[in-house]
Amino acid sequence: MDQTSTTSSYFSENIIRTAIKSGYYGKPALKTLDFIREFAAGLRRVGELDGEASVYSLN
Amino acid sequence: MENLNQLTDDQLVAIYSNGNNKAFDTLLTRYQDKLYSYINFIVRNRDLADDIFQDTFVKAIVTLQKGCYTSTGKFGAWLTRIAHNLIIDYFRQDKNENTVSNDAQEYDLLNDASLAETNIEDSMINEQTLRDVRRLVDALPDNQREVVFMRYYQDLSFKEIADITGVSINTALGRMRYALINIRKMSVENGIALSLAV
Repeated sequence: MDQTSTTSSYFSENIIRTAIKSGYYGKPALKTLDFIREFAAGLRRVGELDGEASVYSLN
Repeated sequence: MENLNQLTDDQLVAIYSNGNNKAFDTLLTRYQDKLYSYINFIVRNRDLADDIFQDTFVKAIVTLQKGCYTSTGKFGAWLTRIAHNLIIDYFRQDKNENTVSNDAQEYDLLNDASLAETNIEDSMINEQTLRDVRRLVDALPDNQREVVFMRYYQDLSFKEIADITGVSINTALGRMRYALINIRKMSVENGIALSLAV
């Protein structure tokens, strides 16, 4: 890469921060978001009916 | 009606727990991009990132519905910790099954045509430099890459990073230190300038 007089020679964490911040890492799929919303609403209904919310293991 | 967007995470959790699903939707909207970015940055596979993202929220929802979430004002960090643990589980399982660890992946930076561009406008040079730096970060071992992302993208403190990843603050600091050393080393080895045109 060309390093001319217009290029500063500093190396700092800022360039890494800028590089990371300027990257694009995608977005969740819409169907995934829909599933999560439905799950959030549906789990409550299951739990309200008969307490079966506990069938979902946390581990 | 109160604007849900103006409420804190813990207020939204309380409202959701009391039966308002829109409060949960607000939490999801608030964190979906940041959390997905973190997961996808680490696993580098969109489908897998979607699966882990979904599992993260499923676990979070179950915990909230069981009333097991403790309000600490750190809902985002809590979500990230769940995702971190799921990623660890995935890599552990994947390693057992066959695949090469990310740590062992080799990046042939010199043969990347995009790194050979020269004599272009400063702005383009800068964009190229930032891409190069992202590639260097991408080539770090997973645990160092994760700390770099949490620190520079999510703006987390080393205390928060340590809490989420389940290590001491010194270990988190050490991973960052080694990450910077490795980035410098790789930049020299591959002739990548770690500087921006001004």
